[in-house]
Amino acid sequence: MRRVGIVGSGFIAAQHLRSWTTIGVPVHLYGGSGVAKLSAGTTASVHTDLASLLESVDVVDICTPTDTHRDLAVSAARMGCDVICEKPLALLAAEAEEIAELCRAAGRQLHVAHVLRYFPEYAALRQRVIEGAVGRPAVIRLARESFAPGRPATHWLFDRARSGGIICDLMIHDIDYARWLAGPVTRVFARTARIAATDFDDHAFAVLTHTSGALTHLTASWAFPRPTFQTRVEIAGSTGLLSTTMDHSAGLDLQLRTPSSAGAGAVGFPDMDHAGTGDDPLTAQLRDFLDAIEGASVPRVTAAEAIEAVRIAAATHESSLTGEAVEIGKVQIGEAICMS
Amino acid sequence: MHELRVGISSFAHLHADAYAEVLRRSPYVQLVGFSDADDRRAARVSAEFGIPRLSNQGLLDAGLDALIVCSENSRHREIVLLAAEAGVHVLSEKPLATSVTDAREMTDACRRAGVLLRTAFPMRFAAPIREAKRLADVGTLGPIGAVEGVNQGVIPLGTGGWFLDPALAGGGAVTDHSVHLADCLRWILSDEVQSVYAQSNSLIGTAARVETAGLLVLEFSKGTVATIDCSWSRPPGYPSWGGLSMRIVARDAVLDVDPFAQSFAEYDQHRTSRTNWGDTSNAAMIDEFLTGCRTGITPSSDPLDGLHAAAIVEAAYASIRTGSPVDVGKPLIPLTTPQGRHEA
Repeated sequence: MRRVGIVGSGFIAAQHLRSWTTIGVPVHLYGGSGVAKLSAGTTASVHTDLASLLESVDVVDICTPTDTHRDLAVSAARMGCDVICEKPLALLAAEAEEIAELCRAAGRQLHVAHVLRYFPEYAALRQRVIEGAVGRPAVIRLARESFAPGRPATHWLFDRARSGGIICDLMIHDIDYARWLAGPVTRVFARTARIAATDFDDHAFAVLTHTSGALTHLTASWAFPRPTFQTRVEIAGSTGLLSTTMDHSAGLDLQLRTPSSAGAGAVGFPDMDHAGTGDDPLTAQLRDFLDAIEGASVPRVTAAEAIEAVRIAAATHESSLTGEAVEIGKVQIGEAICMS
Repeated sequence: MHELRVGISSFAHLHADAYAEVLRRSPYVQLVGFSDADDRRAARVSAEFGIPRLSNQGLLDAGLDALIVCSENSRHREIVLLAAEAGVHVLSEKPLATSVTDAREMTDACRRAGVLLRTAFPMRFAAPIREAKRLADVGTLGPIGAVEGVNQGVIPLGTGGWFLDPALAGGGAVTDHSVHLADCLRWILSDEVQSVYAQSNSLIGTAARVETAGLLVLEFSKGTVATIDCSWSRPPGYPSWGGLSMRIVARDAVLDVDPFAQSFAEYDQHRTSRTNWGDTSNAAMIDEFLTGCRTGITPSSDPLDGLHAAAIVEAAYASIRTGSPVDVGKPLIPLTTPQGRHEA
């Protein structure tokens, strides 16, 4: 049985830990001041340095800020570990390609956690497109609208140079999905806005033009009032249309008369969202990656596709900074522009 | 108060029937007659509304106070110039014209002739849109950072399919469906568009000679960014003609606006449809226009609205051609006052 080492101790690391525990592999932890708290009540082994973790595991699961992905992936691969890495793989396509090449040269697998593909409704919508329900995709609308994560303004997520901002961190989910639906993207145009926040841009629009001629409209927002988290999909094609809003997919809508301990308004039951469909999406994804590592299966999202997602996201981010449309080819985008 | 004598130039546009119905029901209006180049359509209109068919000039010569222009888009110019010459107030279907040059010429002609020129933007008269403007004006929303606008429809194949003829329509989905939202946004934001980025395609519909889908990104001078989806992306089986809605994301609020929410579902043996029970916006728009014909005052609109919308559409097509955002360019006429009042 493969041993998995999670690097990181934040919000995502906690979710990954829950999933690995469900899957039932031995789990090791390293990184950040939150590791002790994270491991409490679990059988995960805690390490106090990276080398010790890498020696003890077969698979490394990187759940750290984006600008630390490269060095961790390279260290892991060189120590003989297969690599799972949270999205985005990197902020620039060249760096993403470098990570993939270094893993390949070390004979290790690389998997990037574009978890949206494992959400049953997103997978089912794409399946309908493949089955011809809309004909040729023509206009796709994808939206991801929520509130800003409750972190201090100094958090790495709100530092565009470290996270790539709302486009590379939040919109990238739907950028990958748009590519999965309608193929390669040839031009992007984006705008961001600072609406509810004061220190970072918290809303973004983008228009992608695909090689096929299809168009995708993307919305990503941290500017909605708590506890909103809504996502929308609309796929219009030459002969048909698919449309859904995911806000009440739990099938339950309970309105407590007194506020719960989680605070007023927190009456959603997100755990019910995928009830009856098997594993939750993150667990399904990690299982898929483990299957690939243990056998010869190809996971639902490949490292090559993750690199393309980075390429498009970086171009989209660049467009939002320069005000120009950006053409996408296999060309390295200026590092100075993207890191600003 | 004397009756207003009103004529309708052409029933080529789908809305002409609705306008004729509003006019017919009004005790203050005499629906004098109509013109139409299409004999079969004219026969139907004569039978249904019991009004005489005349030529455009004949209609104007019959002595009108106002003319409602519902011809194919590229034919608006000729009729509006004739009306101005005849001293007749004009309400023109959108788009006012198929080029900024034409729109400017028509606007100037009406201004010099001292007659009203208004473009049919009924959404300014829809209650949810008016309330959104009120909330924006009184400051409830705070600064508006972003608006996501959708005005999607079914490919308009009716009335001989002129909507898909570039010579008659001027363009496809971008021409047809970007102007309502562009106009609403100008009105709600009390601002002008600085630049437009647009992309389009013709993947929906077989062998269309015009674009059938479009996405626009508008940047307003005070900083709001708005997107418009003007695509004819509802398939023929869609339960309604489409819709128009906006999601406004502002500092102090998120506001969803849907002027077509007043509907119920109907299911028969074969399909689902939605029946609209609300929507008095056409009647309110005509009412304000006719009051304007008497008083010179229209609180919700002004003579430049059609020209501004035409400028946005022209910039969108330039952006589609170049693949870059395009500046809209300042019209040569000054901006309206906040109340929307302007000398006719």
